[in-house]
Amino acid sequence: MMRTIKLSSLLLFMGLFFIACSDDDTAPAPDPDTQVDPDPDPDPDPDMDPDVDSAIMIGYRVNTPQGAVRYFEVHEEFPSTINPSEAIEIGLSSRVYSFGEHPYTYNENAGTMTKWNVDRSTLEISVGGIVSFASSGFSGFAGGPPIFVSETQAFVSNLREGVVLEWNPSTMEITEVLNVDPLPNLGEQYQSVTGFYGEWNKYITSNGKVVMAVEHYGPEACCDEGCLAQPGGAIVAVFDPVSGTIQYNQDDRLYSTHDDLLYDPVTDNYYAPPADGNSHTFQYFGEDLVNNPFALLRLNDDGSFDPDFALNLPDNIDFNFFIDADFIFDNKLVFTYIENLDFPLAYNERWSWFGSVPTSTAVLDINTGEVTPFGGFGQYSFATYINNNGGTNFFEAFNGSGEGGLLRQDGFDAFTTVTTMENGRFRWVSTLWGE
Amino acid sequence: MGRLIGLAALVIVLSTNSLQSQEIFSIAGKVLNQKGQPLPFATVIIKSMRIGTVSDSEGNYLLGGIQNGRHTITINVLGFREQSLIVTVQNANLTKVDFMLEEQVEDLEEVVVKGKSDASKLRESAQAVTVVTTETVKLQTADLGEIMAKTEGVSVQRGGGLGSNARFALGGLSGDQIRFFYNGVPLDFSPYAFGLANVPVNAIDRVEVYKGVVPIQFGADALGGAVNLVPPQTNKKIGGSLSYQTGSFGTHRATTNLEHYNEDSGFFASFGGFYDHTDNNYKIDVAVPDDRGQLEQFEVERFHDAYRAFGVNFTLGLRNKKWAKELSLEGYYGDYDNEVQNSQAPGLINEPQLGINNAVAGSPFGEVVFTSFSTGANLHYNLELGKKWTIDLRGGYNYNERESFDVGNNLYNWFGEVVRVQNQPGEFGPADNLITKSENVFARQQVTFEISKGHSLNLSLAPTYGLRTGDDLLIDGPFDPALDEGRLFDFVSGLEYRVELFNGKLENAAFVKNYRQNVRIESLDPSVDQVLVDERSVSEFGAGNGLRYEWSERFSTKLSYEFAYRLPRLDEIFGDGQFIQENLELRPENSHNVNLQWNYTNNESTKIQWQLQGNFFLRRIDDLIFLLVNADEFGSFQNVWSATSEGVEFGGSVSNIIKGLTLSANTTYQDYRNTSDTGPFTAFRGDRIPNVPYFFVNGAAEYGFESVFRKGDDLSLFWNLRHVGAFFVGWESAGLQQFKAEVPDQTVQNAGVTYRMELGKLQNSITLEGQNLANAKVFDFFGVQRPGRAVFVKLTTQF
Repeated sequence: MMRTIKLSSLLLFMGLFFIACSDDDTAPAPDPDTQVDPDPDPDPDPDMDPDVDSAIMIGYRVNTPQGAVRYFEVHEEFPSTINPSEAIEIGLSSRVYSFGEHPYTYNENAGTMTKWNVDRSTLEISVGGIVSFASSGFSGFAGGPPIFVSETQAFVSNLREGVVLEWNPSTMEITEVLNVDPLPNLGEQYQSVTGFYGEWNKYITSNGKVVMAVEHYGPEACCDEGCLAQPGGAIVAVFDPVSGTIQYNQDDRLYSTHDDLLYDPVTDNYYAPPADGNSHTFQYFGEDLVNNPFALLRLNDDGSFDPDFALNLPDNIDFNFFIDADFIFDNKLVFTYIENLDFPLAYNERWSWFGSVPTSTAVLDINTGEVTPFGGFGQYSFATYINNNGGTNFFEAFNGSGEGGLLRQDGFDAFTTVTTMENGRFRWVSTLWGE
Repeated sequence: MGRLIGLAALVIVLSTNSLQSQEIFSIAGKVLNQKGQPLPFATVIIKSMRIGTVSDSEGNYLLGGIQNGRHTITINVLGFREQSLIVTVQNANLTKVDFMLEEQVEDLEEVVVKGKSDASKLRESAQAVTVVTTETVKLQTADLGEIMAKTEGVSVQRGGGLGSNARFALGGLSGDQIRFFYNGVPLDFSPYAFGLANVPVNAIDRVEVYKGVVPIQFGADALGGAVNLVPPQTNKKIGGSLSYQTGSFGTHRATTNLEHYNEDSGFFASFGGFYDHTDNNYKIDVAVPDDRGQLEQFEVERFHDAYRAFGVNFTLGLRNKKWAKELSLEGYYGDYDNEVQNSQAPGLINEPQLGINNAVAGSPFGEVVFTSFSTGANLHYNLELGKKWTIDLRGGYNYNERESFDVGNNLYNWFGEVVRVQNQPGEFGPADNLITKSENVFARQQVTFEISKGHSLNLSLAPTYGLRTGDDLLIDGPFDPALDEGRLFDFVSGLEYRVELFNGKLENAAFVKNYRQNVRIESLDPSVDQVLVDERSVSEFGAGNGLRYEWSERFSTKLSYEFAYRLPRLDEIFGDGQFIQENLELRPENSHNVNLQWNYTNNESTKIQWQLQGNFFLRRIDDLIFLLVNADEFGSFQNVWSATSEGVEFGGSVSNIIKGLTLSANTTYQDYRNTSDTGPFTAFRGDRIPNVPYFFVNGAAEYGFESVFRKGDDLSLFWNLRHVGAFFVGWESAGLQQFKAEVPDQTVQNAGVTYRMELGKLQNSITLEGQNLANAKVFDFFGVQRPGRAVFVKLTTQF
């Protein structure tokens, strides 16, 4: 009898388990807020005024104890300060761009580009499509931002891998994977351990070519035979979207170019400025290894270096630490530097100046060599270029207290703080429509 | 009952036995009642020599190690009058003395003698500690990480299955803010140097979780608490255990433990070993692109996540000598190989309208491997000098190496196929083949002085020295930052005053600690072609107090406080020689930690036994360290933020509502928030600290049957549930809710059955257990899916 009761209890108990453990792995109900709408208004009537006159998109990142998380927000006008509570969170290791009326975000971990739709009446944001570049080896920050050629043609690149990928921003589909020549080999040691060697921002020249500055910095490439045994000089990659080929132009008159070119809208010229890392490598490894660390080179229309132009900046102004080339306008270069930095003895302390040593910003007339101080950044001690939005340059600026400003360049030295944020980084600004 | 009394008395006697005599002669005889019948389990004690024994089932007893002279032998057994007799021993190898005891009529009421285990003593101490015993869970198949995750106030986030990384948190604090120990010494000095979660449960007898307030004897700079794994103690003449577990995902886990203790000579020896292997080929959801980059969701088996580990350890020693209560030497070796298939952030996509529900879209790794080993030896010496002084010395040496191997050129898809051969080696990032080497030496010196009954002083000195270096195998030349030699010397000392009043109802322990750290790093600077040396020293004082008051036999409370420090790591101070620069001004993190615990129990007065316990905790943490980067992504670690963690824990259990049924449950809610007035998180002051779970519920039921198939066997059914509430990856106030990255709610249920039986001296068990029975799709970290439904079988034998 007792054995029967125990057996019954056991069966009852097991029955309860099965009830309790029934499969609950059902797909969640679709979230109406994340409905994928490839194009909510594919052919808007140009004569019909939108409900919202303009849409401004601001991309930024904020710190968390586990890393930086990226956001973007869309407003009718520039907000006086960012409003993270109304922002779209795009996560850790993500980047934000835009083309036309659409924000695009790239998830570095997933290797996916997401297109976002912004409702013209309500500014509500929804996912408009997603395309994955992962099977072509795209992940992390390799290759930098995409270049949008038209509404149906865009490219991303990973020149270290020798791949350029063409995709359609409207349909969010890959249209072609182009295997191109990879970046020039700077030596096995350098290739294997360097911290950064690659392209970043891309520009379309007047002849339809895509030019990309390629930056490299060391001296992580030191080996028994010496440090930076094969310095590459300044490198610019020129990609031809028509033929799908790439050409690398190299010039030893500059040690390494910054990964972003400067564009002078008045003269329609592109310039290759020095990489800020040149300041360190030159200081610690000398001119035998780091030749011409502070030169400015100019590109021809075809992306080749102009052999007749090379401006050694220290010839005109006395400094020993180049920080950043801010912009160039009508042959006037504005750049930031430290006049006479007392370098720490140890290489691994080389960034200790940041935030503690005052910087200077100057205007250099590249025709006359005349140098004048530049005070356009106002209250901010440091500013750096973000992107050009419809012909207007935008900068992010900092002061010592962690307050940051999004600066709009209204004139050569006229800047307006359009939006502020505390202890974060502005990453992108774009007018999706309107003024 | 008599057996219990006898054993308890023997334990009491032996625990105070310093064996100060020489082993020369013996006294033996019988203990009988007035009818001449033998009395088993009578305690036979010579108080002056502090030795004793218990009579066997025939009433026989034997006392060894008796010197010449007059000795008073005292006999006790329940229900009989105590009897004492003076016996003179004079050069007789064996002196025979029989005892006949008179029955004590007035003592026939039931007497309950309480024997307290070490775990019970700890629970009832003034320390803020939760003790998890493994007696039952040893028979089950959950690993230590899962067992710890079921403990109130504890969070364990796993990066996958067995062998994966784990983030262990107490009150929200994690990483280096929690310190781990194995038998009272840092976990680094054990075969389990590479993480708590994967330690075999059968190698552990209990786990002590110290919440926020850490006793001085650990010599630890723990900010949020400490965890001590206590291995089985060697106390059997011949004993041991074997276990073997197998089941889903190609999992095999085996442990062995053998022990020997010779009571007469005091010699003891033990040997332990473990072997773990798993393919970890559990299924996960992935989003795989086609040629056009369009994602489609698949369920695939993981193909590069295997884990293998083995380890051995031995201990040799002597106990209960005049010159040492214990002297022992332990040696160990542990070896670990880990395949790595994805990062901790593999790129999760959640677009239900595209048919993609929380699927990983990033490319997997197919060739990344991490290996490591740890070996060393520890020495332990314990001496009681009279009744006042106790000296406990521990010291050890450890050498460990870790190697990361990531030089593959192949790009894989989630089906395990190579889809592209890359120009640049490295799947995790740039190619990496780095060896880090660490040599460590530690000492723990503890001196206890009993000032008077109930009053004692305890001094603890705990120096630890570490030398860290390495080798980047991808760099041939001397300019290899991994070659830098970092030397770290931590010295944590403490002084504690402990008092017991009102017959032990009140216990108070007040302590002060000093944290001293000296660090030195030597690095080759290529720019000046010379070795540069950086050094720094810091010294800080902390203090704390633990108070326990027993309001009644059923109800007690504890109030504890510590102002604690966490000393910075070498890499936090000196950077990595590349992208993170040194910061010699970096201060230790500090925290004010408070716990208020209570416990109510009725275990002994009614048929239905139940108990409830709760804890309120508060942590005010300042000078928290964060890697602050500049506009060019270079940076240094700086003290830039602060936080507060408040929380409640509540738990309880009830037994015998139905005979054999035990139910238990606990829950934890913690409010861990940013309180920074300056620094990078100022804009989010008041927000919950992101990416940290804050709400947990655990429930368990066990139903046992006795004598199911044969006399003395038992069978138990068990079920448990763990729920972790959803939490955000970013700041809670930032971002529209519908687009925020969130680690979703997870609820996991396990159930199984254990059958136990004795075969001669062997205690055997077999357990069949199903884990994650509902096959719930669960994540601990954003995007890192954990194993689904699994079945395991475990065999255990103890003797």
